[in-house]
Amino acid sequence: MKHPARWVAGSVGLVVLALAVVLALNAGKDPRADAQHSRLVGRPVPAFTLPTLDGKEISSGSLAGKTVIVNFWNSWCEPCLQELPALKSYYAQHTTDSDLVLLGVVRDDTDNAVRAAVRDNGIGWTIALDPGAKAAVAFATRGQPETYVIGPDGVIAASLYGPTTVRTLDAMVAAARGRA
Amino acid sequence: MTALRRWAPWGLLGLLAVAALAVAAWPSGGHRTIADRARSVESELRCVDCEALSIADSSTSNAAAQRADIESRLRAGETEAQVRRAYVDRYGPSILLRPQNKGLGMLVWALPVGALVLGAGGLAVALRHWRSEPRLAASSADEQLVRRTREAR
Repeated sequence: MKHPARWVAGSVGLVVLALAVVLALNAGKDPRADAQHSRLVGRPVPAFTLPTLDGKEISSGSLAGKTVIVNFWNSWCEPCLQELPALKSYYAQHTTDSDLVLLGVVRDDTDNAVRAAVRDNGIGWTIALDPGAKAAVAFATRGQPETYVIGPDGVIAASLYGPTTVRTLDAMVAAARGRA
Repeated sequence: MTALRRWAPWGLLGLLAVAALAVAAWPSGGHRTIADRARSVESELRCVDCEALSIADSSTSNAAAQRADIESRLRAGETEAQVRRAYVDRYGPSILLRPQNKGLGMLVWALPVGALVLGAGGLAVALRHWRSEPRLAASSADEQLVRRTREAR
């Protein structure tokens, strides 16, 4: 080795160059991009059985063959209250559609607060409680509101993190029914 | 004998490094309970509804539910790796607090090792270079020059 210092400097330079190339190729990519969309889309809906606010029980099995909008929400979440008019409007437009179910699943709230929110906001669709947050974990939720639309084939066709709109719900339901 | 004296410190250093790695890699403790194993997995997974906390350290209801889920999976016979994979499958790689040792995440592990190897190599080269430099000793001509200069003062 005639010039060892040059070899060392050259090796360091190569490592730095390789690092620069790798970083340049990955520049602009969000390392947490997978946190923007549910990985459950395209997979069968996780099995769940939940108590409803009116004392009954609702399960994924009992909803088979229907298009189901599952909306995770709670009474203290401001974005959940923001999306409420859209959900109410959508629900009002589809009350005669017996193949469509809108199911609100309460995430991280007390029964009394939920009852008050349902009463005060005139929520007419089925509200299910999630004791132990088992459904929230099964759906791999990251917060609330989150909306999932399950097609009649029992597959999650679309998902949304954050407040929804009537137009978004229309598109999600169309995607779910398009699968069948 | 000279060669032995030269290489003995390096050999000793190598032995110490191997011993330190062995101690670090040796599984600590004896039998690990389900709770120990659950805690180990929970501490590697990110709490999804809070910032920079593990599932183990978070107090959210979601994290509590995930802790229960992890424990029930382990009780059902899943290994820690299977539980980790199940969470990455459902939430994506960003659920992991520590980068994976593949793809770009590999850089995080490889770079310090690369830097260490390069540094050690550089140091070895520099030491050899310094050692091979001739020791400067005054020649008789130098000594005569100094003597003459002193006498001239």
